[in-house]
Amino acid sequence: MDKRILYTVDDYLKDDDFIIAVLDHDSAKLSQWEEFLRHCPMQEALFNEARDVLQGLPNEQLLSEAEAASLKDSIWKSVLV
Amino acid sequence: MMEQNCDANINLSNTCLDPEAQLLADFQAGDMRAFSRLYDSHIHILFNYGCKLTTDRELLRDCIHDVFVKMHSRRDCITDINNIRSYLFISLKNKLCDEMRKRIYMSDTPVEEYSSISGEEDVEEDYISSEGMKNDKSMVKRLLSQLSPRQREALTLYYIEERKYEDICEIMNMNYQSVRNLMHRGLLKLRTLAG
Repeated sequence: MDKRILYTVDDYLKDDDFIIAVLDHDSAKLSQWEEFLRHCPMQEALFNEARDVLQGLPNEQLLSEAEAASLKDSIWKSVLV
Repeated sequence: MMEQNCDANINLSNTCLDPEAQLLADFQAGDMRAFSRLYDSHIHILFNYGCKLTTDRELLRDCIHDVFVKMHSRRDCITDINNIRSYLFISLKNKLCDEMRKRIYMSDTPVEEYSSISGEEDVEEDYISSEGMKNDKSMVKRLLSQLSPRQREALTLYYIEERKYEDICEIMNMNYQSVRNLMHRGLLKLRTLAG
């Protein structure tokens, strides 16, 4: 059984092939998903919801600029040692 | 770097690197300003993506930290990046899943239910964290033997073999909701027996 038949929105967001298809507009991956949705149309709504989540991400800023700066500092400290 | 000698007969847009690819090439050549710009241009979207996978902001910050540090340390090896965004997303997702699995937070709860912990989850948490249950294998065995064979199979697959719900559905030839119901009833029965 194709495990994707039981996919939730969360599962899509964790699927490498889904991420690459949606973010990179990878045509080979996209056609694999189209093929899957043709066989499993009941997954289409969840697929679309997950795609909208992934594509709609920059709309809100959940990390403050101060937090982003302090995280950047700690990364720099780690890479420059 | 790699595309200095553009052939005049070839369309320039196909031969010169786009700005993001140029940034990536500069970063891989050791340019820290490029690394800084990569961070600035992706940190917010990456954090927002992570928020869809966990509500634990501290864990998320730690994982993002590790993803960027690893990307920096492996900059010479990661030659197959086509798109920096999907590379970062997938790295973060893998890191988060590893960490959550380590902390036994790993649950297949759909993302939209993640923030509202239901009573059912508490039963599971109670079961996992109960030291008595953890330490006394014979007691667990005795309790498990009082469940129905299907309940025992589902709980064993989930908690002992750490299988995902999808795998359990496949192994037991049941749908997602039936497996959830089976496990829920099994846990309630265990709780009553152990109480």
